[in-house]
Amino acid sequence: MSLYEILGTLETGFIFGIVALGAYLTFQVLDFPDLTIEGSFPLGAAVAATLMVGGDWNPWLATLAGGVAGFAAGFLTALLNVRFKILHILAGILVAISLYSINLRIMSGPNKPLLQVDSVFDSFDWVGLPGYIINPIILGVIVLVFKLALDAFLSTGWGISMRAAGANPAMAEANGVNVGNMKLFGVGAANAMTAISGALFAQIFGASDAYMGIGVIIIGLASVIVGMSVLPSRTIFLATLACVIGATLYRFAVALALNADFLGFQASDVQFITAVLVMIALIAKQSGSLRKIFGKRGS
Amino acid sequence: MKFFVTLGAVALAASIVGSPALAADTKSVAISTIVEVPALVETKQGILEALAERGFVEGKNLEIDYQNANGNMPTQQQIAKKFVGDAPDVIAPITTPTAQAMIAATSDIPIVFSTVTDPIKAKLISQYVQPGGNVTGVSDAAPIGAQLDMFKEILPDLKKIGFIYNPGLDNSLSTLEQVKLQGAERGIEVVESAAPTTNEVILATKKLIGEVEAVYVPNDTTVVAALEAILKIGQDVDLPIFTGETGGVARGAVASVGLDYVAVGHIAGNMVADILEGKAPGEIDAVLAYDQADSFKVVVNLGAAKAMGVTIPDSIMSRATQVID
Repeated sequence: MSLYEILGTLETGFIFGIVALGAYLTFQVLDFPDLTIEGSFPLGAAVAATLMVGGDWNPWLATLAGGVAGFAAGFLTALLNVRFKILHILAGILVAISLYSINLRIMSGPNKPLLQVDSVFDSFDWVGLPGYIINPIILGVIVLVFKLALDAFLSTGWGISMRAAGANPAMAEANGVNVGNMKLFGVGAANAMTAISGALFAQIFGASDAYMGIGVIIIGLASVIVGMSVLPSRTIFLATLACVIGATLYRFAVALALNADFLGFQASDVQFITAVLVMIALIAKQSGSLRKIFGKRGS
Repeated sequence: MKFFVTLGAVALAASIVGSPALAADTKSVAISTIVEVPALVETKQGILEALAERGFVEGKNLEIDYQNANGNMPTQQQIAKKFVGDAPDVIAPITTPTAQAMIAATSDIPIVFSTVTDPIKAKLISQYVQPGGNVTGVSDAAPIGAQLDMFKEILPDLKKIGFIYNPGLDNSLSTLEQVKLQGAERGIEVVESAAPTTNEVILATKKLIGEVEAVYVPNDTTVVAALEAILKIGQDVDLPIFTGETGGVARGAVASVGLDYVAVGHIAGNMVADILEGKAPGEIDAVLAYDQADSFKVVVNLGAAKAMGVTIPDSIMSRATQVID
C-alpha cells in the first residue's frame, strides 16, 4: 500500500465517519433504524453539485445547502413515522426510493461532473500542500468538528432528552419529553450529516452520481458496529470516537481487499474479502474478551 | 485493532515479496470498471488483445492491475487512489463514473477511457481532436443512424418505435436523444417507456403494446438484464424487438447493427500502446468507436424474426456478418 493510497483511504474513511456519526445518532441514541441515508447521501451530493455547477455557488455554501436538503429528507421520514404512524423502516425506505427520482430531477440527469469546478478543498490551496495530503487533513478536522459538536449536543438538556427518548420512550414521555419532536429533529440532523458527507464525497470523486448511495447504510452501520466492538464505548465521547475509527477501519479493510491479489483473489472478490476482514476483527475482539472472562474464573 | 495491524503488515510484506519476476523494461497498465457486465469485460479483453498485438504481453513485459468496484462508488474512489499511488504507466478506466474518479485523482498519469457514451458531457475531455492534458479515449455511442436504417429496411411502414430505458443512466439518456434526433430525420417517432429498475421492465414493455410497431432496447444495463422478459412479450403479441447491442440478438432479438465491444477495447488498447511507446495522451485524438469501424457488425436472428412475425429482406441477409437460426 502506497502512502498515497493510505491517505486516500483515510480520506474516504473520514467522509464515512460523518455517516457513521449520523447512524450512531439514529440507530443507537434514538433507537430509530433509519434507512433514509441511502437516499440522503446522493441527495446532498446532487444539491451541492447542481448549485456549484449551475448556480456558481460557493462550494462551502453549496455543501451546507446539501445538508439542509438532507435534514428535510430525514425530517420527512420521522414525520411519516411520528404523525402518520408508518413503521420507521418503511418510512425510511419510502423516502429513500422517492429521493432516487428527486435526485435525477435535481441534477436533470444521473451524473453531474465536478471535474472543472472549484471544490471546498480548493479553498486551502494557500497552504501549499498537495491535495492528497491536505484533503485528509481537512476532512479529519471536519469529522472531528462533527464528533465534538455531537458530543456537546448530547450533553445539553435537549441532548439528554433525546437520549431518554431513545432509551425509554414511555419514561421520557412521562417526564415531559416530547418523543416525537426528538425523533423529527434527531433523524433530520443525522440525515443532514449524511448529506454533507455525500456532498464532500462528490467533490473528492469528481462527480455526483445517482448511484452514489448504494451500500451507504451497510457502510454506516458496519462502521458503528466495528468501531464499538473494537473500542470501548462506555461514554458518549468514546462511542462517537469509535464510530469515526470504525468507519476508517472499514475503509482500510476494503483497501486491504483491493491489495489481496497476491493471495490469488480477483477483482470481483473485494466485497467478500472486506466482509471476512470485518468478521475477523469482530471475532478477534470477542475471543479476546472471552479469554479475559475465562482467565478471571481460573484465578 | 491488532488484527488489522497484523493483516496490514502481512499484506505489505507479501506484496513486496510476491511481485512476480518480469522483464526489466516492463510497463504497467491499471484497468478498472465499476461493475462486471459482458460489455465491460469485452472492452477489457479488447484492450489486452490490442496491447498484445502491439508487443505488450501480460506477464511477460506488461503488468496489469485490474480492479472492479463491485458497483460501489466509495470503493471506486479507493481504487483511484490505489492506482495513483502505484503510479502505473497508463490508467484505463471503463465507464463514466470510473473515468471521473480517475481524472479527479490525477492530472499527471496518462488516462485512456473507454465505453463512455458522452465524454464531453461527462467533462472527461473538452474536445475530441487533440484533447490536451493527460486524458484521451473511446466513446461507445451506438451507430444509431445505421440501426434505424436497418429497422426501416425490415419494417418499411415503421412510424413509431418504443424505447425502454432506465432514466437513471446517462448513457441511455444520450442514446434516447440520438434516437429521437436520427428518428425524426427518418420519419420515426419515439415513444418512451421508463423502467427505473429491472422489476419494472415488464410493465414498461406492456405499456408499449398497440402503441408502437417495434421496440428498441438500448444498451442499458438495467433493461438488458430483463431482455428475455421483453422478448417473450414480443413473441406473444408479434411485436418485433430490436437491441442496440448485437449481443442481444443472440439472446433472441430480431436484429441489430452494432459495435463490438472487443473492437471498442481494441481502439482503446492501441491508444494505451501509443502512450507506452512515448506519445503524449493529449496529442491522441479521442474517438467515437463507430467512426473508426470500417464496417458494422450486422447480426440477425431468423428464429426470433419468425416468432415476432417479421421477415428479414434479402438485402440484409446478404450483408449479415452473423445469422442465428
